[in-house]
Amino acid sequence: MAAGVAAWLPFARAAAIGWMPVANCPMPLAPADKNKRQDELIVLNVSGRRFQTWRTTLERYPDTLLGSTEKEFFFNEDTKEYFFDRDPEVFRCVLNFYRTGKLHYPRYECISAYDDELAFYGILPEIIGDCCYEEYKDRKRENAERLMDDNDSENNQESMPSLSFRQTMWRAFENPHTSTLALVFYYVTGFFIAVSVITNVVETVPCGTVPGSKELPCGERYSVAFFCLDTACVMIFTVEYLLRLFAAPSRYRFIRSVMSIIDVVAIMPYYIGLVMANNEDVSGAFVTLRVFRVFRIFKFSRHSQGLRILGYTLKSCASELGFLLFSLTMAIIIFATVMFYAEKGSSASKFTSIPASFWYTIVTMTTLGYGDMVPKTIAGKIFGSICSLSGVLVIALPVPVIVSNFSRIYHQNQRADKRRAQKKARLARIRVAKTGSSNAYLHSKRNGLLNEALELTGTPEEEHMGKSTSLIESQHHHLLHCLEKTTGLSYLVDDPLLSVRTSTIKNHEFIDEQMFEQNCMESSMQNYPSTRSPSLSSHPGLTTTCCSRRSKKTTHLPNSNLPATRLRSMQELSTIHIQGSEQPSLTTSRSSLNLKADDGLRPNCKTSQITTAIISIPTPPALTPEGESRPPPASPGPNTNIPSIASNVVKVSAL
Amino acid sequence: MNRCPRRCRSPLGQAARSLYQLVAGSLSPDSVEDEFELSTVCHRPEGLEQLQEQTKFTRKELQVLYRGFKNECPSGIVNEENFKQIYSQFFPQGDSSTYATFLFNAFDTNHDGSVSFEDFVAGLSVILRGTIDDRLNWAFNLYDLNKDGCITKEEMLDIMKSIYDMMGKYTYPALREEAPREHVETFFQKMDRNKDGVVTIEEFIESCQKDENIMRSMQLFDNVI
Repeated sequence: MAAGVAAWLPFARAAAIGWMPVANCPMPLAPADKNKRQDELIVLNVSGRRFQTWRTTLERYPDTLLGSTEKEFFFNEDTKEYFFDRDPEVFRCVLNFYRTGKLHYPRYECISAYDDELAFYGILPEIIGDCCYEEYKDRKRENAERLMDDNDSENNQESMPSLSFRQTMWRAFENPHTSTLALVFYYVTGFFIAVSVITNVVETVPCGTVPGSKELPCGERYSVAFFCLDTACVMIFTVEYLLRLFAAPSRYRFIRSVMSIIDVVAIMPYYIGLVMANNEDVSGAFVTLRVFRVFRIFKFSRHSQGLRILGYTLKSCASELGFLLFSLTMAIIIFATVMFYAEKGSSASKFTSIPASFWYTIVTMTTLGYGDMVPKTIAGKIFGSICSLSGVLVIALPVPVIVSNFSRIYHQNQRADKRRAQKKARLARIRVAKTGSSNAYLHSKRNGLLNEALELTGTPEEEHMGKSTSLIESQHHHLLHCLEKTTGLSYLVDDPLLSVRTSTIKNHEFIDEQMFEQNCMESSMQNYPSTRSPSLSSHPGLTTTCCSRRSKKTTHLPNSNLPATRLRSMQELSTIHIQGSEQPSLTTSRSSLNLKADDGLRPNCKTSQITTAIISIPTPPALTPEGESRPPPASPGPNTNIPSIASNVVKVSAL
Repeated sequence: MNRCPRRCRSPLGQAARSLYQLVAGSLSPDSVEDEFELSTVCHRPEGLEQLQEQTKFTRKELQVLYRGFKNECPSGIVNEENFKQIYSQFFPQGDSSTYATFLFNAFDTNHDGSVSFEDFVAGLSVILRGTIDDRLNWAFNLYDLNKDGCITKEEMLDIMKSIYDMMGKYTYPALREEAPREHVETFFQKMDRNKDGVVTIEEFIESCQKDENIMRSMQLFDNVI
């Protein structure tokens, strides 16, 4: 029921008076209007812009947010208004929907933003009025295509782990750039297509005379060579076709596809020729068949995107082309008839019949004007000129439609390619931002621990440590922290692009030294295979191994990951090493320190440039509350050797 | 062409004008706008106070009614087509156009083909705020299609069929052909005291007042608005 009509419901109910006297049975009771309030104005505050409307206006559509009691959730007691933290521009359209019953789609609005708003207010987009529905649907389709494109290219780039041999082959055929073998195959077939086409062409070129006979085309002079070439090409094409047939996911569909038909047509003449050999009767047909060899040139369309676009355009403009053809035919017939009768009188006229005049008409209308047939009478000349003028018009009319279609499809393709190219860079930047936030978590955690530590030690001057985080951030971090505590797992953030690796290490209590060592080795071993950035593994002299303090040698372990603090305190110890190198790869590893190691560690730090603030804390002995024994020097204190001069190492240690 | 006397506005003149336009290729704007007539008529109701006097609605009720009315009919009057269309929105399954026509004729007291807000509100006032007798009177007026003071069987049959039409085709039990006619018979048996084949206003009111059900159903309209 439309909105405005809801206001007429009292009228409709009143009109039921006509049924009462004729009714034979008693009427049901009317629903009681319990909350019979007077109609009141409601204030809707949307991001500061105040809208006001009657309550009954909103109640016209009880299955939307504003029409139901759901809006009570947004009621602000202090200001006695409903506050929505949404876009006021779109809200205007939404409210107009309640008022007039028609939902409009503003053209300047982004389609997904609009959809989101509609979803929020519980309004189905199908209600959009006819005036705006077409535009809405067009924009939505465009957007969906764009998203699908992105998804497709994403899917293509993901590595699909378990593909059968057949599927890999098909993928290789369809996307030659997925593997080098496919690329080789692609170029080889392309080369042979070119060879085959050139052979066909050169075959017919007159090749100079053999003494004693007339001039021969090359094909007949070097027939053996050409035959060998042809055979080779056909064999390659056959093999390719059979391989594609084998690899195709749906063989039936593959057989019906255009490209496969072209393939078949390209290689059939050869086999038919083999079979029919030198039978004189059918040699004429055989010659015709050789014409089909030129279809091999269409095989290039697999290699050229532009050709495919052209083909697709022609297919999509089929109706315009058909119209062009039809109107041309009509015009040809008309003018041919007229010219025939006009030229009938003149002597030695070439216009011997109407079909003969067709040739003249076509040549004239397409402005070719060969001049083999010209009108000689005056009437003929007049009509001939009219014919050529109209020819230009008839051809010029459908052509822009086809051109614009081609342009649209071509540009769509261009945009898709451009998006794909930009996508990588875009995703990289997004990842940086994300790891920035996870870094923030770790930073703040460390800072939080610092603060707690400081509170314990009571060191006044370094209380305001680190950067202040917003309430939301701190709550989020607390949440992550709780999760870690709950599961007892470490939080690993690994970004192959940035090679940022962080890990937080759970506080292990009551771990003795041996276990500590073992854990240490285990975790380093574990973390080693998990690295995925080749740059790290090749980077010389990266971070430490645990337990290597004695050895003081650098290994190629990309990450040192030392579990277990020695303290029974609730704090986690962490050291963040942020290593920046020429490549934009940062290695961050976090190792836990014990107290003593901290002292010994700083001298080892060969920091060339500092990219992040170093916070080093004097390690007060009071931080080992319950008198836990100091780990002996042999304990696996983390040793961070960063000999690489080119690296910027920032070491932040916290207790 | 503007100085052409009236007789010149014949097809000949028009043909000449179009030929001129064809030859000269004038880019004159579409002549569609010349044919645009002012088709919207705006009707404003009398003042609120007057309506308050004439009807039994309060000021606020009149305001609410007018807002709803104006929303659907910005021009201030409802014609029959509009009326039918509005009414049909309440009965999506059936065909309510016939009954809507009867209603329209009942509301359109001055029979000028349109229902203004005053007519609308006057009718509603009777139905919703009038006495039982007023309401019965109004109902009689509705049934009396030719407004001659009595209801014949044919008129009643029309009304009955229109009411049954509003139910639509998909009912349970399925609608039988004779149902309206039978219903009319029942009605006449109840209402037609002197069995003369027509129901006059006195017979109608008398019979209704004796019928419990009808009296009770008439009171339903007290709380509609």
